[in-house]
Amino acid sequence: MEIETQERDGVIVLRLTGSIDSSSAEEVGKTLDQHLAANTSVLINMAEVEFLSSAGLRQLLLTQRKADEVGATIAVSSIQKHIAEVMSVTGFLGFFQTFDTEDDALANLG
Amino acid sequence: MKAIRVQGTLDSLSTIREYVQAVAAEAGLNERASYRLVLAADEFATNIILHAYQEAGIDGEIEVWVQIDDQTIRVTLEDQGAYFDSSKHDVETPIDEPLETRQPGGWGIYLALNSVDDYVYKRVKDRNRNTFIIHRHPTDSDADEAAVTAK
Repeated sequence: MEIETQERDGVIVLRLTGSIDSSSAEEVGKTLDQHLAANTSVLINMAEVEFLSSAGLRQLLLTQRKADEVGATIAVSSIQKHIAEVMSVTGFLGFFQTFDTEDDALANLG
Repeated sequence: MKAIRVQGTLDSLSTIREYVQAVAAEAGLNERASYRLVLAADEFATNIILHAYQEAGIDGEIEVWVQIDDQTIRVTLEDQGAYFDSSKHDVETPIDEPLETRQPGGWGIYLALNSVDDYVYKRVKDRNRNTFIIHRHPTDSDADEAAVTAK
């Protein structure tokens, strides 16, 4: 799992590459949590995430809860269709602001 | 396709997924059916590693093999860990539960069982044998997906 971080238009963009499974979810969570603070916006770009297991779902949910606690805004963009389907049938998709592309997200968050 | 044997640790998950991905390709499954098969394998393997091995303090391996015929694709994971039948751990998972009260964990078995058509657990001597089965549907093959796309 690789995580690239860039600030764009006042939004912290985290671009994830690889698979989020039980062996990598914790590392992803730690990285995401580092960027959560009051009045910050964090975008998780999942364009290069080809696999997300239940461990990944769990981690995203915990991150969203933490963001709500500290007053940060989280959004997720570019979710591959099979992952989006799994997030949808489990009811997780509705917990996040989602956008088709990183640029769409920045236009709304920035 | 030949069986594989991997260590019963989380580091082995990617090897198991790659193996099952290759199985799906050999069976001619389309991307969606292939993703379901890989997801099921990952979730069942994770349960074996966490519950049959780590929680029980046992080290061991997971053997994975596949049987493909005209009707079905059967993937079997066998381990030497403590007794663990995934079907007995399927939790009630209300998918309309809101964020604040949603149980963050426990979704692995739900996803695994909902990604496959059949699941069979057997305790064979000191081994857990988890077999999950996908029945081939007309819309699961690449050719049919291409036909749908072309319409």
